[in-house]
Amino acid sequence: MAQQAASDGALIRTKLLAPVQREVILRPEALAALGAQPGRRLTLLRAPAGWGKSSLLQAWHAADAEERDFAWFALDRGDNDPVRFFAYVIEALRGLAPVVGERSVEILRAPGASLTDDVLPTLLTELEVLPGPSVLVIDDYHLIDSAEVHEGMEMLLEHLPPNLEIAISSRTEPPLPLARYRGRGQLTEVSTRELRFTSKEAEELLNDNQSLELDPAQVERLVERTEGWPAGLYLAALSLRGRAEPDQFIRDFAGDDRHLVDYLTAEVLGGQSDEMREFLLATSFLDRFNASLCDAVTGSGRSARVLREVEASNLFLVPLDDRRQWYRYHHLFGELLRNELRAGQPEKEVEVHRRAAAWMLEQGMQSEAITHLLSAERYAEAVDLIAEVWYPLGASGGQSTVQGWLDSLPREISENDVRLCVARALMAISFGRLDEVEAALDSIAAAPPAPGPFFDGFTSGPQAEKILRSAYRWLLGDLGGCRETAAAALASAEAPSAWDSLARIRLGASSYWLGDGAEGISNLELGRAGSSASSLNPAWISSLGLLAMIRLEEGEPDAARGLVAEARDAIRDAGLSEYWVGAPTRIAAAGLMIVEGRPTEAIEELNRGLKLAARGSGPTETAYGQILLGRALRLQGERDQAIRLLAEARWTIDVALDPGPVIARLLEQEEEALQVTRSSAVEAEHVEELSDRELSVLRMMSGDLSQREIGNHLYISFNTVKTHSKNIYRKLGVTQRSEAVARARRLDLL
Amino acid sequence: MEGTGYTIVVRGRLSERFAQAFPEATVHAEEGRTSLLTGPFDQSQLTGFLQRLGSFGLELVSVEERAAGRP
Repeated sequence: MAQQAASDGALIRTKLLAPVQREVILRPEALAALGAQPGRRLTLLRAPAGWGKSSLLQAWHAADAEERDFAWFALDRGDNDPVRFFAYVIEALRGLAPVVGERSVEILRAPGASLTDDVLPTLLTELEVLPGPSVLVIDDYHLIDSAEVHEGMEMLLEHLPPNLEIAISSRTEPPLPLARYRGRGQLTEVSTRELRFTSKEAEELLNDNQSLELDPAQVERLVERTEGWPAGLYLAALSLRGRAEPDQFIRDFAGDDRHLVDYLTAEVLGGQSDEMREFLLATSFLDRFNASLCDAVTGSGRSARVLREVEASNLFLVPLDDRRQWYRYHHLFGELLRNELRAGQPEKEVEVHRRAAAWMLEQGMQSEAITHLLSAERYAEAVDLIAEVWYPLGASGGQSTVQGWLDSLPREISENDVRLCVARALMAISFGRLDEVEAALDSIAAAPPAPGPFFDGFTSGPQAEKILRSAYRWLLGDLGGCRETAAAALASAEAPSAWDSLARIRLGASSYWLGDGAEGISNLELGRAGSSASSLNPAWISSLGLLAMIRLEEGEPDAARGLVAEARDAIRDAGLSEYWVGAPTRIAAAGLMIVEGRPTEAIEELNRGLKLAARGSGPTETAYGQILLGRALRLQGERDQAIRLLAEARWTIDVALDPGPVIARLLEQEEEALQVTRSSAVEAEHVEELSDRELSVLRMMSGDLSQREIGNHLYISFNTVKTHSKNIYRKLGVTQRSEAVARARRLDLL
Repeated sequence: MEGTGYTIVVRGRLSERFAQAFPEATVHAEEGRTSLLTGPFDQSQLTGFLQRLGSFGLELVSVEERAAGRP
């Protein structure tokens, strides 16, 4: 996101500005509904398109600016992505107090970090310092259907600091626990009843604002025909402008049973000059635009002038910044224009998207360009561009955006480009979605050679497949498989790549924990040097942490100390403190604290390290951390807790496909020190019943959906599915999905 | 969802030109209202379609599933 924000700064900022106040009708009654209400958490403006939701929020902002601070976030279709959504929320809130986002942004961008466990608790702490009463406005929330965003919003609303309230506009009722807020008096609702124009307000719009000089009976007729629908009245006003015989028009309109939008769109567009009509239609597919973009799309050089004309004639143009550079159409009007263009010149739509994409590219707005290329079905160009941007974008918090592109490409196209298959595999590995990795790796193997250059450091599909497979085997705790695939990757005849050092690191780590100490350390050192030289930061950080753990185990605390210090600097410089690759560093640091006789600090550090590890590390690091935590607790005299931790370590090792003898021996030593037997450790974990939610996840596990797909079906986030799955495995005493299903069948749970 | 599709009625008569916004439905304009006959939708397609009607400012009168064997 950092890079993205830098390249499309001006455009992005317009999403976080309250729209510029136009000459709107003052609506004291509707506004009164929004008046201060102690203890309120949520204000919900719920009404279909064209009911003046945004305008009312704007008016509220203008009227109340002295009493409270406003943070504004206008959603686009692309914001239906938890990381993107909350990055904007945090950015908007930062305007209220600069301390907001100091830590939460980095956590948000960390692969595998959980929104509800990690990001939002931090954000809520940051929000405690808000200086005065504040409102976070979220406009067009109906564009969200991500379960994870809804979960996050629910949590935010539940724990909101007293100085902050949230206002949401939406065409549909959002899936938030509204009844609960309503019952507690924490909710203000505004619907079409409050938003409907009264005759007096209609008169103000038609006569004072639009200078139409209608008599009361004419106004009344229009109110009746439109039923006070603001967009309808507005369209009627535009149709009436410059008409010599308003009465005739009003009578025709009132007597016609055609849908009023249908009727009035034809009237309004019919009343425009050819140039203006062409301009409106050609620009209708742009979410936001300035004169330069309009020039590119229309192919004329007159857009600045036409835009001024459009604005002067009140054609539903919403200025987005004070300098009047960026605009958008009112959503309803934009939809009508797009329909008109599709109906009249269907070939034009693709052309508009193609031109918009070219302009975006020129401006360095690659993400926007990709969206337009996909709409224009220019797949070859889109694929090349995705191959180019996915890696930095995915690494800086844009993973759902990348995933969205991959998912929206036709399968035969995305699976035919090996670079995108690599993207799919690497993202699944980075974000802990292990159940998707195997299929992605197979698609790399099946795809033809890359049609263009790799931009992510790889050099060929076969090489990428071997390297990523070794990383995957490590995460499964299959150390034998890890060593074998890593060795094969390094021995292959393919061109060397920056990622070879990752294979080297996996070769070293697996060798060490398989009992081959010297070979392990020398390969890890090679991998450390290689990843450092090629600036492959996550791999470099991982090698430093793994080496530190090993030096500690080998009884060389000074060497371990140096490695931990180097790793900490690297993590800080790369801004990766919340990424799970840093877990071994924290675990090794804690091990040093134990050696130095500081078990209390070690416990704290281990809890943090294990939390990081849970986001995606392999079972080896996790089990090692759990064993150390058991040791630290034992030294503190916390015997029961120590036993529990060793039971967890035992479970972690059991889950691993081939954990090797070294970690098992360490665990046994610690168990002996505590004088626990394996069976007493197992008993410490009591068997619990499955919750209803866990049962529904378990039922879906018997099919062939991935965890992400299960989440989509149950309207819960991937992280929640992962948590449920872990609990299910633990409760059933199994280590894999297939075993869980088999066990559940035996227990008649399925 | 089984069945042959949905009959969705909105208020107001829609012109042929305007109806082109909904190519996935057969549109019958009647007096003061318009019926849109869709193919067999699943729930998410139906929800999406209804949302699209809303984004054009159309007002929903009724949604009914057509039983198999009846037009």
